[in-house]
Amino acid sequence: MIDLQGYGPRLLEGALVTVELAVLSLILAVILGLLTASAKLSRNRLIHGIGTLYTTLVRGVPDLVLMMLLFYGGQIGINMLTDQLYYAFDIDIFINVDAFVAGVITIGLIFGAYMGETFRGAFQSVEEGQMEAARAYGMSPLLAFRRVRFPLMMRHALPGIGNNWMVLLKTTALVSIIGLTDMVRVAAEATKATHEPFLFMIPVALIYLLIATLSEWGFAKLTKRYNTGFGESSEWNN
Amino acid sequence: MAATPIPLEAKGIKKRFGDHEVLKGISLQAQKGDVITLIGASGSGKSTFLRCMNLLEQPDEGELIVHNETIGFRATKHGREPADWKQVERIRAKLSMVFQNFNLWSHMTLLENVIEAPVHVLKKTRKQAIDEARALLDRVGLLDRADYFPTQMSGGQQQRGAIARALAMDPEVMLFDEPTSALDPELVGDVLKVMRDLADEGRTMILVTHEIAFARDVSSQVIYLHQGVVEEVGAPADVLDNPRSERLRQFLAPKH
Repeated sequence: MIDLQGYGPRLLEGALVTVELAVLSLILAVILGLLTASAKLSRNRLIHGIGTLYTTLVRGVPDLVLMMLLFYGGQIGINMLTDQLYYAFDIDIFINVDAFVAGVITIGLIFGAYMGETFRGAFQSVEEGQMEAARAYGMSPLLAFRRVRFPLMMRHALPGIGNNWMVLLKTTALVSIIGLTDMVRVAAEATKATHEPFLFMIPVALIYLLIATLSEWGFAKLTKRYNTGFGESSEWNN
Repeated sequence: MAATPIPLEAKGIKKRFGDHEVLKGISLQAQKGDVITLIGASGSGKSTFLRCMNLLEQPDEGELIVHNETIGFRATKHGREPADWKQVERIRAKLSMVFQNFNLWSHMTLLENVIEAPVHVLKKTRKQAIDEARALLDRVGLLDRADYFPTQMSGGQQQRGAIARALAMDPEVMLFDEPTSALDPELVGDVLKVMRDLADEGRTMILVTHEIAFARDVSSQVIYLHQGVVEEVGAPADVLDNPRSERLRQFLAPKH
């Protein structure tokens, strides 16, 4: 194994943190994105307003500011809440905002807003007749979404999701600010101690590149899967 | 003796879009084996009326009874809405619709299209659904197309596939919304042949069409709509061959 003056294993642990953080954030972002897209397409004005407020706020404030607001602000908020519990009910608990959880929530929240826009366009690209047929055959709204709208809209959403994922992956580097030991932080510490930036930063860059390349491959597979039934018609049609 | 349940009955259906009243109180009763054809100029409300029957459009007034079950409505501030959407889903599963633009699900093969609702709505086993689907595809002449996607088939094949999908629900009533209007003329015949077959077999069908000759052949009742009102109704021989109103006469006159 590459030793990197003893920092090798720690760097790998950091890389694992990066991947975990990115994947969990992506899952949260996709869920929030689907909810946001539904909210923004809702005829209910309150729900629509909440969706719009969310995307406007998140997209208009720098990621770093949001992250610190959530991490420090979240801790202050929780402290106030637990203080109240102590005074009112004599319940004494202390909750520490975990940097990893805060990171996932912040990145998930930020990219949920971007995913929301991606999904909204994709929702609208599904032909109305496809959903009408689903309803006409007795499907519940949830079943129709799962069996018809979701697979059809993924075709249009995947390029946007892939793009968001790449940006999200790199945004995880920000979490070192709130004290999470991802691979960027390990490399930064190692550089400070050894004054050899290239020795650590080039492997970090290569690891990001490796993850990105693997994702490209994965997205290409998914794109192929959700494109089933479209295109390639000429050789069959007779 | 208990009467056999009437497959579908609509009473006094009214529908407004904004200020425009599209349906001004239309009724219809489909007995078992009836083939009821709705004709009329575009804008007469015939497709809207058909879509009210499976509640793709919500009628503002009127009553719908499917196989002795009356659909319940409740008033909201946006107008009337079904009181129980589960009931609507159950009823829709008994009224298969065939659309003008086929609307086969484009991400599924033909076979997957046909088994989709039987498996996920009627909760049949996949194996049983596949067996039935293959028999139906054979019947509409598309067994060799089972693994094709809709984009790989002609319009006529897609529509026959859509009819197989409708039949797979073993519906109480089949609703056809201008099933041949989007087809090239040379493909219309195959689709009409399948539909005639269904009529002969005693299927209860309600159909919106511009194919007057076909309507004369298969219908037990023809309804002529004009501006949201039933203008003439009766046996095809009466309505189509001896129209009483000048308007229907003009509608039926060959166009040049």
